[in-house]
Amino acid sequence: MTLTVSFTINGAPVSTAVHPETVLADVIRDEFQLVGCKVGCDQAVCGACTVLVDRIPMAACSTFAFEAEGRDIVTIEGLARPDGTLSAVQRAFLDVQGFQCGFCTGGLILLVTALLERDPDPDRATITDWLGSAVCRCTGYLAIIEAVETAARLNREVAA
Amino acid sequence: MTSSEPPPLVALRGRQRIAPFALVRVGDTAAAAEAALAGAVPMGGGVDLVDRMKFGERIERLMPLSGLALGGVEATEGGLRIGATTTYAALAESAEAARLAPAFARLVGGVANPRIRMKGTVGGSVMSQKPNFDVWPALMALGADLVFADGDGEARLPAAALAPDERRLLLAVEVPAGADARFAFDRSLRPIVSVFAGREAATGALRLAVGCAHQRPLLLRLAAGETDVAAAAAAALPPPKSDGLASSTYRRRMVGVLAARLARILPGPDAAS
Amino acid sequence: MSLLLPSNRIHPALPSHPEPPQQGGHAKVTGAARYAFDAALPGMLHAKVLRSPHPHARIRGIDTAKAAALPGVVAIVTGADARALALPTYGFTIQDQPVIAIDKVRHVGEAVVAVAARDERTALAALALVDVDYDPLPALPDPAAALAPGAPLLFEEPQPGFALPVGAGSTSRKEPAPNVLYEYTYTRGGVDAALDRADHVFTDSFAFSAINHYHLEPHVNVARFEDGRLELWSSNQDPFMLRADLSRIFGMPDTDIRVHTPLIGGGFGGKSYCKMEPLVALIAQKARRPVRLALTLDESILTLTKHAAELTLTTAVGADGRLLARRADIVLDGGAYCDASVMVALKTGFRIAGAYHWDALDVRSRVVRTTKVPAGSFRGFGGTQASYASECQMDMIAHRLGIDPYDLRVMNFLGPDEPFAPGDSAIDSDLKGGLDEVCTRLGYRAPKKAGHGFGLAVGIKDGGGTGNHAGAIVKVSQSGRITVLAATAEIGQGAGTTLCSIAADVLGLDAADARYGAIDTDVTPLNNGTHVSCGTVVTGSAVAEAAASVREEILAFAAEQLQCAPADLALEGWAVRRNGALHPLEPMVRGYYGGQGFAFTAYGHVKVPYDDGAPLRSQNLFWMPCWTGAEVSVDRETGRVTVHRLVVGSDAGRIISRRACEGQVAGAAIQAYGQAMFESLRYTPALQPENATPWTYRVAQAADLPEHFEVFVTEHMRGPGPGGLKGIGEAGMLSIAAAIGNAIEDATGVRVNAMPFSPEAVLAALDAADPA
Ligand SMILES: Cc1cc2nc3c(=O)[nH]c(=O)nc-3n(C[C@H](O)[C@H](O)[C@H](O)COP(=O)(O)OP(=O)(O)OC[C@H]3O[C@@H](n4cnc5c(N)ncnc54)[C@H](O)[C@@H]3O)c2cc1C
Ligand code: FES
Ligand code: FES
Repeated sequence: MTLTVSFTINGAPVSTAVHPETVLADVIRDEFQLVGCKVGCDQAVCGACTVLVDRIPMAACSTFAFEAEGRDIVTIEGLARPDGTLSAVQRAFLDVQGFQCGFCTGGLILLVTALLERDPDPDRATITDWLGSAVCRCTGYLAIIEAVETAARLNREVAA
Repeated sequence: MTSSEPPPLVALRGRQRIAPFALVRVGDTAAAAEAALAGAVPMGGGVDLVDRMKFGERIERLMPLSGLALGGVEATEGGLRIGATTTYAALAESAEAARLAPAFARLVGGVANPRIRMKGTVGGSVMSQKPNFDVWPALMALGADLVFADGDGEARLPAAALAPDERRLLLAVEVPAGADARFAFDRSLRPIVSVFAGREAATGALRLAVGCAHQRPLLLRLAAGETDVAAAAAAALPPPKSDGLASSTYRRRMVGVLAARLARILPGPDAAS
Repeated sequence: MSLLLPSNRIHPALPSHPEPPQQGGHAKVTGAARYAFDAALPGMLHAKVLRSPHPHARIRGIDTAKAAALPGVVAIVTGADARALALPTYGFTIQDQPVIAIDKVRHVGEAVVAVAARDERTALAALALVDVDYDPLPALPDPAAALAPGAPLLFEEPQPGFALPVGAGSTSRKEPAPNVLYEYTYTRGGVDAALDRADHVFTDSFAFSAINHYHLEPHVNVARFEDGRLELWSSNQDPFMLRADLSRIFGMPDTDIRVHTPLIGGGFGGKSYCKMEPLVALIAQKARRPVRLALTLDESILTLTKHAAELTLTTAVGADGRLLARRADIVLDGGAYCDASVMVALKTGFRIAGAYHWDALDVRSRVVRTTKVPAGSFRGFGGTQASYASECQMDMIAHRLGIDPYDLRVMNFLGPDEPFAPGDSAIDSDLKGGLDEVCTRLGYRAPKKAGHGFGLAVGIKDGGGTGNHAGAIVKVSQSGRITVLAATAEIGQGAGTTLCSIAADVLGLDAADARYGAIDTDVTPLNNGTHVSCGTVVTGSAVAEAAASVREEILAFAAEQLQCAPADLALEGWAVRRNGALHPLEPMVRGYYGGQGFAFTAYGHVKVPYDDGAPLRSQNLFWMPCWTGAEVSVDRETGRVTVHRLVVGSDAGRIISRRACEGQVAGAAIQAYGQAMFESLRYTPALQPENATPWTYRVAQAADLPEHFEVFVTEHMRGPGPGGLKGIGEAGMLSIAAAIGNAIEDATGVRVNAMPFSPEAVLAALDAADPA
């Protein structure tokens, strides 16, 4: 059995045929070649596969493709402006080196993007709570927390 | 090997193991209720369901509940009614919940992580009956009811009476008015054990729901005036599991310790004990 | 080529370095970074592996007929195919691990049947149709069981390989007793006499736990056999070691094997040494198509762990607290197969001396085979096990003698310039200086909050490996842009950034324009692998040498063009200065070589010499300290430990990127912290892994961090690398658990000597001390 799902991905409207059991991560990686969406744990734990679905961070490894019907999906490849300008969160991760191997980074950047859209000035407890949506085995999280705080500041500077 | 029994594919869990299924789309709650009784498996957020399917569990017919009018948090005569498809996040952010069940809302707003809380539903959490999930034991301690679709109407069940093989569609859960003010929990020893406590308004008895320690969460009831809550709770507890995280003995003792701590902070006739 | 020796001098301080631009950083934040996980070839098949459900069993038969008949299945590989290989086994110096199980399985999760099919789904469906007939054998849950008289044997026959040669005072023996894989000993001075004479002798035992690497990118390989050549895209961090192993296993010339190493999504040792790569190659050979095998994280968890260990230390101490002699009996649980166990045993034995002066040592370190997941390399291996036991015992001794644990350490520290062991290199960090910094940051002298305890620990390990060598190529294009080629894999440690910075420093060119080339064994110069934090020092020295040669080449060229002597010229940016006049190089190069331009190219190669006078047969290149301080409190009713503060420091010799150095220390420290507090791979009594899924195998997340966590990195300027540099990647792992254990004892008076410090273990220790 296949079904057709339609959604927008990084701004582009698309339609694609999927099986009900196909998960979003496979569609994003295999069909749209957006391989910045990584699959680490394949169990909704590590957040490497996080994408934004209607600006909500979701584990693409554990979300069925059919759930994307009619929704707006953003992957890490869709975050920078078309001219290549990085988003504040990307900029912050780059500036403070909020990554090492980088396998968790795309998912984390999308997660933090969603956090700052909801809470532009999160306190430590909020940041820690949100980072619970991800695992980074490399950094020990210090640099990531710094990246979140830096991104919040960059956003404020732009707004000011 | 029978098809219902997943083959022992050691460590081969994952999205490629999700067996093909038919997608059941329904237009309204009544149709969903009917389909559920006919064997369609409801999907709330799918967090638990997808995880199980990745281990090889077969679901023949899957019925997403999104799009049905099953969400929402509202004040009712009896207390607070929470629709089954309400996400953890929606519940935690709801003004009604903040007003009528602030402690429960705080619990729900702090479990798992925001990514899961924006997807996982209250109904799914309860109906999964998983030992480590928090909502169901919390509802037991609150003395809440589960509201199921039943024929043309609704059927209510005390949370603690949920049967392992319940097939009906859960419509909502209802937290009785005032219960939240006599509710507290301790998750600090998760995933070894967690304890949720509620004081019955009428009797002063202590309801203790225990998570993580058995195959399913379970409820104990200690009569009002119990002076040694720790000993009584530990004694009343069916044998907890032993695993690499902790022994049965330790779990039993900790249920006592946490229960006594919760009893001390809960208002009630024997609050001083 | 030049010999690389431990540094015996203090380098002059250099002007502080701006943060160098991160190689590949932009790609990582935009999703453009490509990992082995993303490698794909046209016509590629997907493989999946059926794994043993038994800890120990004989394979009576395998029926693959039904699986083979499934449409989409292309090849099925079993032990019968492996047996036909030139060498069907692998392992570092002892080759006991079959490419795929042959006749027997020795741990849950061992590969038994592999299927290549058009997609993973089909491969999985095929595996479900395979029938394996097992005859279960008794399991060996731990070293005690494996060493018991009459215990069943994991191997009936000696396995291929040899005992790694060692140096002065050391012995090395392969398979010296039933179920014992390897034994290392080290002796100096007369321990018996010292124990007899000493005022105090303390014997204590410690248990160290097994953890998994949990690198977020599970092991993944794509292999292709074409035109008689084997080509591999691998997440393995040791391309040349892999090439050598594959060459032995397939009986192919090494030059017919080509390994590509894309970015690696974390490793921590879990992707070093040969693993399933030969299996993927074997499947590709049989299928005659390219094959990808991506493990699940669950499978990665059943592939390798850190070594669990029992360490018994008998330590003689003078009345004044001077350490005199130590006897150590170390038993490492090697799991089913060798992997890197030989190295781990040797390093644990060597490192058990810690950062202190001794008159006599007598160390025995054995690896015992059990029917568990093989243990192998894990960040700082040997050092973590040794530091844990040694640094816990330091506090126990201090308390027994009524000496402050700080004073006991400082009194016994090896001073800078004192050799770690006779014949070995000298300590190249100021150990006391680092510990003092921890104490200041921790507030060690300030009054403690009620119920709180402080713990200190100082770990040290050798770095740079034994007799390692590395080559590097540095190219400078006509526009003055650098390309560095070296085989140190980029695994998150910032290898490319560091190596490019070193080249740019030597050449006075912009590091932002430097590129770290892709690793391809056909073109990249050889090195020993991405190990023992040697990337910056060993490979970095080769890069510096190559860069210096390129510089000569550039100046010689310019001198010829300007008709002067090279000595008259100075390189300044992408120009040469002669008598005050600046001559841009680009037009000069184009003028001579034409429009395509040119690349000045040079090769550098360094080798750490062997030295039989040193215990490990080569003087250690540098020393990596880890200074740790912890403040904890303990819930006396539940045994739950809260870490309020954790301070961790190390010495990078010289810092190229402070952020990268601090990140390495922080990352390692939190791995060790997780292990100390809750993380471990657990087994049921029937030896089934109990928590081998990503969710149940709990690793530290942000919310688990200590309330206050800080790291610092010092520059003691004594390293052997360019400008005093040394490696730092493994340091932060060393002394975390001991510091926390010591703080628990300080807070409660009880010692918990098995990890993790679970609430139950702590409560049991409290109960034992105070039987109510
Ligand atoms: C990383 C991670 C951490 C987590 N941590 C926690 C935690 O700390 N505490 C905690 O409580 N949970 C935790 N969870 C679990 C998560 O909260 C649950 O998986 C989630 O709440 C389940 O909700 P769902 O809507 O996704 O359920 P689903 O997966 O949709 O459904 C679960 C089960 O309930 C059935 N079902 C769903 N809705 C209905 C209905 N209306 N009527 C009848 N049957 C129904 C389904 O058929 C299925 O059998 C965690 C999960 C993850 C992945
Ligand atoms: S891969 Fe989806 S959460 Fe880890
Ligand atoms: S940077 Fe490697 S997992 Fe986060």
